[in-house]
Amino acid sequence: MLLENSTLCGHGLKGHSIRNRWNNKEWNELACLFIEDEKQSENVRYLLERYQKEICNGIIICKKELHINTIKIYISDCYKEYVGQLKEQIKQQLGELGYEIIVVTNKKHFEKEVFQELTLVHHAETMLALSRSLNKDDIPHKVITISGDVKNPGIYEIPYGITLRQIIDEYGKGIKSDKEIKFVQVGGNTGAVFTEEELDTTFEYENLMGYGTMIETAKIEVFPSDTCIVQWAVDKMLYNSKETCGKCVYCREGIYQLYKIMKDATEGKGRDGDIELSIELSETMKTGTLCDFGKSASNPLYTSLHKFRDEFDKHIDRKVCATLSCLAYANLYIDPNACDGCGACMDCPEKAIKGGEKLIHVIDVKACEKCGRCEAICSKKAVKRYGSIKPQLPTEPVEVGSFAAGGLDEKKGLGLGRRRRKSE
Amino acid sequence: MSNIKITIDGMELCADETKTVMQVAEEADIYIPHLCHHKDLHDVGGCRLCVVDIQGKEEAQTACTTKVQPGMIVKTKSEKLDEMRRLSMELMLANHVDDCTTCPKYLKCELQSLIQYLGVSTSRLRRTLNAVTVDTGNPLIVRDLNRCVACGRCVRACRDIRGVGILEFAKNEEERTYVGVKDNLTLENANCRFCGACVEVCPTGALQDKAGVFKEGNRNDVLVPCKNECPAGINVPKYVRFIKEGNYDEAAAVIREKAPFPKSLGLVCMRFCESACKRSGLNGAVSIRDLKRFASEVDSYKWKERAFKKESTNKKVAVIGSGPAGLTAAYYLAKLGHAVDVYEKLPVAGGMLSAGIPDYRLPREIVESEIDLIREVGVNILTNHKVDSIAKLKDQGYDAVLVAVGTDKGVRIPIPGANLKDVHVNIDFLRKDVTHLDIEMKKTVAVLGGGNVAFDCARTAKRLGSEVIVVCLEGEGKMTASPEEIEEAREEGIQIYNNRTFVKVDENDGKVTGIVCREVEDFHFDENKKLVLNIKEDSEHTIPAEMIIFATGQKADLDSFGELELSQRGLVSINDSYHTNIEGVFAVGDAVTGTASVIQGIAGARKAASNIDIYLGGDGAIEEELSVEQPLDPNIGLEEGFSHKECSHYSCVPVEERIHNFDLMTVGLDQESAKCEASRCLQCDLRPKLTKMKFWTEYKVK
Repeated sequence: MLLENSTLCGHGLKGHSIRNRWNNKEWNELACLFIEDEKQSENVRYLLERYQKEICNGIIICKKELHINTIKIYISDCYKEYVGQLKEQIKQQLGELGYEIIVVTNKKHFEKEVFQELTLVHHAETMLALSRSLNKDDIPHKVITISGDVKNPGIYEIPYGITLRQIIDEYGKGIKSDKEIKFVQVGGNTGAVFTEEELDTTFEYENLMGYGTMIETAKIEVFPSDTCIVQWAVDKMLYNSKETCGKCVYCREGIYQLYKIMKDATEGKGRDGDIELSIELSETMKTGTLCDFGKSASNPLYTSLHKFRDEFDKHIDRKVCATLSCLAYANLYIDPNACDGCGACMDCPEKAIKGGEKLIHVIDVKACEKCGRCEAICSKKAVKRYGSIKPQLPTEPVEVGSFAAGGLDEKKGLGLGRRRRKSE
Repeated sequence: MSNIKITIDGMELCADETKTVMQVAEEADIYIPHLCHHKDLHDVGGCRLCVVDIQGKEEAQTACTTKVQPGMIVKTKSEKLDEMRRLSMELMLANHVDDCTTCPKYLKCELQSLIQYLGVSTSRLRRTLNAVTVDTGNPLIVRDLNRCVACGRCVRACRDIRGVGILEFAKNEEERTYVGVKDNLTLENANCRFCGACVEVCPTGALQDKAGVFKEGNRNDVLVPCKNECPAGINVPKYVRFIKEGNYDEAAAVIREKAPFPKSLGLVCMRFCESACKRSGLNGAVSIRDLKRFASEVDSYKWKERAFKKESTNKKVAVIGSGPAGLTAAYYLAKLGHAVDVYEKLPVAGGMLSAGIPDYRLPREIVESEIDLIREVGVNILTNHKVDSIAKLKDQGYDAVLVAVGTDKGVRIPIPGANLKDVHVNIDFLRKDVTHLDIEMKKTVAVLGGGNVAFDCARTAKRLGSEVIVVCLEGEGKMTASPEEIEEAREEGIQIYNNRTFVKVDENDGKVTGIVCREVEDFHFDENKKLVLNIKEDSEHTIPAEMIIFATGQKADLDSFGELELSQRGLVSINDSYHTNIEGVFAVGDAVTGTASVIQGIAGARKAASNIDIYLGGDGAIEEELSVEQPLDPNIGLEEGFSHKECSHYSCVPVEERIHNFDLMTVGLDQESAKCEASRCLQCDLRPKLTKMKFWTEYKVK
């Protein structure tokens, strides 16, 4: 056999060798997947645009090695414009018969259909890796998407073994904003969080899995220092809760419960023991759920709970959000030095903004419902937030440019506040 | 199938290799908490309550989805497992109505019993329930998603057991999972078969039968209301299914198992089954009586081969009265080996069936043909034989006597003019041809009464050429006559005056000229069962008529049987064994119960026959299996438009063709419509076949 000693690791096999998979059963059908959750990455598009020929070669190898006659190719309907081209390519390499291309619109139905007893399921990328592996000098690569706060987001083929930092710096060209990297999520929406200090982890299956993540959804998303980890975890849990198939309790109710608990933490409704409860829930989910989705769905929260525990504690116990992302713990104000008195924010649903033509607008904190409308509408970005230390502000609207600068060092004020609490 | 050894909680068990840990535990009566697991359904391992530790496995496994393996060592109880189970329960309960006590499933709920078993509280979790309105839109099933824990049992029952598949996991606007009806349709429009399997398997109060659909009582009985409500307990779903399958002989045999007058019943039965039919609220009950009529009409009597007939016992039984009760008892007593003589005072046998119910409803030949089969088993019917004394009868060597004289004495209300020449009573009028009573018909006839007998009188008079009105105390819609009887009478031009009480018969020189009435606002019966009327002031008026027929009830004519102890209502008193106060004398039928239905008479007579047999030294066994066993296919499948499928029932001969003669005025179902009608059955008898899940308290090891 051609691939007797192949150590190739398949996409979707949790790092197991595809050789083991092949020897497992007498496969009679091969399903090659061009399937992707379009909300996460476009890695499949990348493959379709560049490697149709190589992928077909991989299919041929697989077909010959395992004496499989039936080949089914599943492709997400967001890529259906490639179907014609793909058909042509397959025809050239495999001939007219023995294959079928199926456009997938409903992922649920697809999952039911594809995972049959004797159907060997491989991702197109595995087929690419397979065809490349025939070349003795081949260095295994992985197609990944880099996104978030980087200068050069996009899809790249990176060799296994380089560090996350290298990936971000060499391919993503480093952080885009002038801030520092706070954390990186590796592996899409169910992926684990890696802190700045952990970026020297190398990109390898075993390595990343140890952190509770899988790299099937090969996406690396970079988040800057002003990201509120709690708010971020809320969003991830909500997103994942919508993805559950609903069959098992831990996944269906557990993720939503985690979302609810964390949402409360961002809204001043956190309770004692919430963190322990979330950890217990996450850990039970990791062992107790039916499928891999459920086992990994709590990863973003679970890993960030461990790595940013302090921030979660502050939200729950002290009702403080250092990044001022959680409006429950912040107030809005209008920076008197930035406001040009244009009046755009005056259309406040609570009538909480006082002002007038060429006058610096002032938010009445008592009336403000923190809907954030003014913040979104201000073209000068003059609507800002403050936490426990209120900046010096005019109490009534005054003429633009007339309010004395100074005493408005928000950063300093907050910094002092934080330090003071730490020393307590 | 090879047997292997496994150990559960230290107990060594022999197990079949194809089974799951859960199945093996259940066989050994060991309780492993579970909710989504149901014995009749394939397992999915969704609720995570059945987690167990298996030696050599790092993570806890769900017992319901784990196959046993040789030497497997399973631990079902540990603090860690209980913690996992409790957490799963807490998560479910966070998304569940908080208060159990308001739930109709209270104390019958598997979820509630698990709360108790695991000792769960919800306090530390966030409430996640987003309340939705309870779906009460259809007449049979209430869906309360606030009590649903999405265990998916109903989904699997509907799809896998029934092959219907209209329940499914769906996502709401917030993309939260719920168990919905396909395409969010109503159950009716989603082609629900209303078999009730989903309700049966639901472990919570999420799916319930609408209150009142089923009576209280033994579940397996009440779940099949038609059969349960039939006084004789005829297995209705079974014969309806046979008809659907085109197996008419077997259908007829099923009816025969409980009643020797299927043809008569097919025409005149009171249809307790149809009133109870679950389908009635949906779009009309299944026309069970018409199906019975169809089956009995095409019966080729194949069941006779399977009917029992015991050796002669040399005992003699006399039955007084050849109505449905008397003849039914005689039929079974003869089959039990006794010599039976039936004494009938009239020239014809059949009681009310042949001399009471008019021929246009039930032709005499049909009754006669049914009586022939009774004679066939050896019953000797002596017509024109009025029994004057029970003692004399006993002297003739009868070992037992059954009084089944019925209630055939019409009641004349004591008002002035009630005894005039042209004033008659119901039964005398109806059987005037049999008794050769000379009644001269008049141009206008007023029938007093609102029951079925009143309408029999009215429609008979109509057929004899008179103008007929019915005057009765009951209001519109309160008359005891069946709705179609009233409807058909109206079609025939019979007028009905409701809410009237009768003052006197108006006369002129001894000739009836009308009935003087008053209008009644309402009436009720007081604690002594005495009628109390609330009469409208100044409402006295005369309804003109030249002939009056009282159809205001009948009494039992027991003048010849003075030694019988009677009840307050003037009926024969019996004990639980149908025995009267006289040794060896039994009684049954209307003479005991008061005027009732044919099927009630038959049902009583079967029990009486059984008791008489025991009295005569027999075992009283009268049950017989005349039909073949019917394999029940639980997979009923989806049928487009099922809940809207229109019902077909008998049709009437046009009015013009029917009001001048006494020919049978109804036309039964043909083969095609009978099959179609039978296919409307909700097959309630499938539901009791589902395994009733045990509560943890019922396990030996818990």
